Amino acid sequence: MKSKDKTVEFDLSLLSLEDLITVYKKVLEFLEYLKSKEIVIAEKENKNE
Amino acid sequence: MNNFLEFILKDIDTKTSVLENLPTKTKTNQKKYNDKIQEYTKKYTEYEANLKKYLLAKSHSFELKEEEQGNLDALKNRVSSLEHVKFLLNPANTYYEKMGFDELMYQISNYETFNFNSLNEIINAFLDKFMEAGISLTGEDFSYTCYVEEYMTAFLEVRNQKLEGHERLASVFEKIYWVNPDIIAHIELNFRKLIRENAKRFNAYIEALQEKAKQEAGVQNYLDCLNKLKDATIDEQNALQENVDDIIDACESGEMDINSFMQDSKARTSAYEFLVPETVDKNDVGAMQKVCTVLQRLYENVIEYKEYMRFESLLQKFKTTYKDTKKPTELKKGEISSLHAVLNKITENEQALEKLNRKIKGNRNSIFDFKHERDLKELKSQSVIKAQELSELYKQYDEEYFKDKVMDIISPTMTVADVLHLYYSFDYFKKNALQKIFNLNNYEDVKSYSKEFAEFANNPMNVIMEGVPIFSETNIPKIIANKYRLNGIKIDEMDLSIDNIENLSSRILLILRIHKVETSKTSVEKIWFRIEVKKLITDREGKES
Repeated sequence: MKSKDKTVEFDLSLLSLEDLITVYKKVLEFLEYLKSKEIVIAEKENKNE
Repeated sequence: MNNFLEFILKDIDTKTSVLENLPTKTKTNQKKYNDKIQEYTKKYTEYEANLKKYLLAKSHSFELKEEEQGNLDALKNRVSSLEHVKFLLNPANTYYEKMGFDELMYQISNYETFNFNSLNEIINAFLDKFMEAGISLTGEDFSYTCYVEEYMTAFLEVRNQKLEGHERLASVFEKIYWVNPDIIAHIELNFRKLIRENAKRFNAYIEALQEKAKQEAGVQNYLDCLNKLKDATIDEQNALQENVDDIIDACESGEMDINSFMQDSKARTSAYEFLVPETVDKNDVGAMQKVCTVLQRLYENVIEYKEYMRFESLLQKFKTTYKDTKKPTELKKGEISSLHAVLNKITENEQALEKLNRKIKGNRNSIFDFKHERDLKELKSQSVIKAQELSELYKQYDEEYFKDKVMDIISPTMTVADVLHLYYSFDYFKKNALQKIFNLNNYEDVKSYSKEFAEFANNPMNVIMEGVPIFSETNIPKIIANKYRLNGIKIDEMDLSIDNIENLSSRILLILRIHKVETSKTSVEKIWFRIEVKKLITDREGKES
């Protein structure tokens, strides 16, 4: 699997079964976190801008 | 860094930090913030998709190829065919039980628990059995009372013409019922009489069936049948034994918890500490195989004992009833048994009833006048009273019949297995005993208890029951515990108490299952992985949809 900047490649077969489950859980958790952090931008103009 | 887990942990940390430090007060900043989130989400969605693909492929590679079921159907057929031969050859009972009349007698004598249509089904089943043996009954055979004759003539007309005549029968039944509410009991008595009168033909029919069944199953005699049945049952049980696929399926469905199989699980540690001798190296496959062979036998004994406890009240009742009964001495010349005496009374009374019935018929055919009508009523009432007396005599006959069978085998060394076989051989008495002991009030429950009992009584793998005398106090848990302490397994009789026995059997099963997995092509860890992957992906798909 390639990392973010495509410069480093990871071999998932090097991970233990437990680590594979952990990494997948972490990725899912982070996706959930990102979803929760998205800001709903108000339509009305912000006066401070 | 070449470890993806380390990379992800660090990357998430960095990205979380970046997001936390981004300004979000203005709309422009908020847009930039959201763009960053989009960028990260895109990347992590890619990771997620790639990981999912990899996890699924890996999980799939751990699947075991389904083991061939082999000739399981053939094994099952062999067992059921030998069970049928055993049923037919059973030396403990007679044509009456082998024809299944005792089962129908139980049904008809408990008619109050069934609805009207099922009464007709029972009568049809009786008639079918007669037909099976080549005996075709007519209305005249049902002359026990004039009411039985009236109903059965209508019944046979509907049956013979294959008419849908339930409504017509119901109205005939209702008309009779208000004059003679015991009509069903009297139909039962009529069948009892007919069965007895046709004993020779039924015996011949059963003998022919026995010969045919022996030939088809390749069995010489009853003993040979029992031996062959035991071998066939062992083969069937081996084929049906839980395999690793079954364990995986049970873990996936949540029926078993794979976490309890893991090295560090408390359930596993405590089961091993409890049941595996300290001197055994738990990592030594050969040594553990020996322990598991012993534990498998212990498990079978525990199951047998659990079945015993399930029906202990019935066995206790038998014990208290017959505890002080001695085997009767040989009858002196001219002396008859109690069973024979009741049967003689029945014959006498049935002859008297027949005489009354002839008078009723004669009266019915004479010219009508008031006196005749009154006489006819009186005669009919006398015949019903006589039938009632016979009903009581048949109850006595039943008691004597079972007692007679008990007397055949009673001895101070009679075992639990003998009692189980006795009840297994006499369905009518088995069902009556179960109904009373367990306070059963519907037929479905009776059937289910009876089936369970028969399976237990008929199990050729029972070993403990064969040696436990019914009339002595035997501490079965102590016997089992002592036997396995010789193998270094530290159980005591308390472990087999009603409160602890489930715990004991589940611990044995856990060790047996772990051993099965650990000596297979897969491992506990691989199974855990497959279950985790399935769970995570199902959850993820659930959230996405």
